[in-house]
Amino acid sequence: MTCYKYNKFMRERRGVADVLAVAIMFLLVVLIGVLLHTFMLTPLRSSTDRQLQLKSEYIYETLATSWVEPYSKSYLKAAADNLVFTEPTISSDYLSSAMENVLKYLVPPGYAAEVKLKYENAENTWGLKPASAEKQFIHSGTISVIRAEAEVENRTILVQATLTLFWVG
Amino acid sequence: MDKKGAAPTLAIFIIFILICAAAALATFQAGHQRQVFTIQQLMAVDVVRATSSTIEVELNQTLQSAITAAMYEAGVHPENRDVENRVIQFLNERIALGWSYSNENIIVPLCDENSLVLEWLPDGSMRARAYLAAEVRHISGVVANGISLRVNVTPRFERLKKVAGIAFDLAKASYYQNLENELNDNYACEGLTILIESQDGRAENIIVYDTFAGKVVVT
Repeated sequence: MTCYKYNKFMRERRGVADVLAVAIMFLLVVLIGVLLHTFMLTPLRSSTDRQLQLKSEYIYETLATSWVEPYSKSYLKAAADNLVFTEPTISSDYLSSAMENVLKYLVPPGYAAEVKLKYENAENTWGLKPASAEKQFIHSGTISVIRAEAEVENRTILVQATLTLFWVG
Repeated sequence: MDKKGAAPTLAIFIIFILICAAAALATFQAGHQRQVFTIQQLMAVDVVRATSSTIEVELNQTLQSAITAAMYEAGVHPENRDVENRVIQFLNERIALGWSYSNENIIVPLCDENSLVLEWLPDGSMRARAYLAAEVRHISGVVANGISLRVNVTPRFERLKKVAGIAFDLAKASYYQNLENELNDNYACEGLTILIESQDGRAENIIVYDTFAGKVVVT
């Protein structure tokens, strides 16, 4: 009887150790799974950021180089002229319409873009800023206009241009 | 006895699992860091390339604006009709103002008559070509080198100057009646419009408009 009771006690202890070992291994598997999952997703998020960056650069460059038909001026140059000059070549109404159209064409579904030009205290904005966005990326540049018949310090006009691309999701 | 040895075997097995997990974790972490570093470098490459491209586009438009402004000033200042030096001066004034981008160091050298080639075309317009040894350096060490400029400007300054000279010589001869209409008929095919401003029967100013390229004044 005594021997039987002793063996039963040992079997119970071994059973606890086995369960503990299995539980620890299970926890390890879960923890490693979570860590691997995190590591797998971080480059994916970085790649998404890179896509957003490339898209914003592409849209900015397109606006900087493509012309507002039928005028031989780029969208950003025309926008800068509208901000600086009292009598620009392209009227603000026509430019607004053309800018909205080109942004609709360039911005992919699920995204939104806003173009902002700033010169001293004047500012013009085109596009639509969403109420909420998952992510956003800003690409900025300068548009310079040389003014004829001006003093040296006032000859070069620098207009700050910013394109913000929003990922609505 | 065999059953008694099960617990130590399990303990050794768990230690083995822990070591293997740590080694696997370190390997995955190193791989992950390499991936992230590669993506960061690619993003830095994209950033410097985009900045370089943005500056290049801006300088191309600046050069275009500078040539038009230089032609305009040369037209209204008969005492100094040097277009080329004006263009170089205007462009250098913009370059001297510099660029400011976060995480990037931008160096654009000033241009001169050696780096900026200005060519008068047969129709009196101008073509400009330049290569500036610019450097856009990201803080991660990625560098973009060189900016290329290539601009064709529509105003045909030399042609306008020539036509204005011819019109002025003709206008000095008093026997020419209705000269303005005749000149406009002759040069309409080139898209030129000529206006003669006279005072006391003598031609004072000849204004030539290039209807294809906006207003240019040559006196």
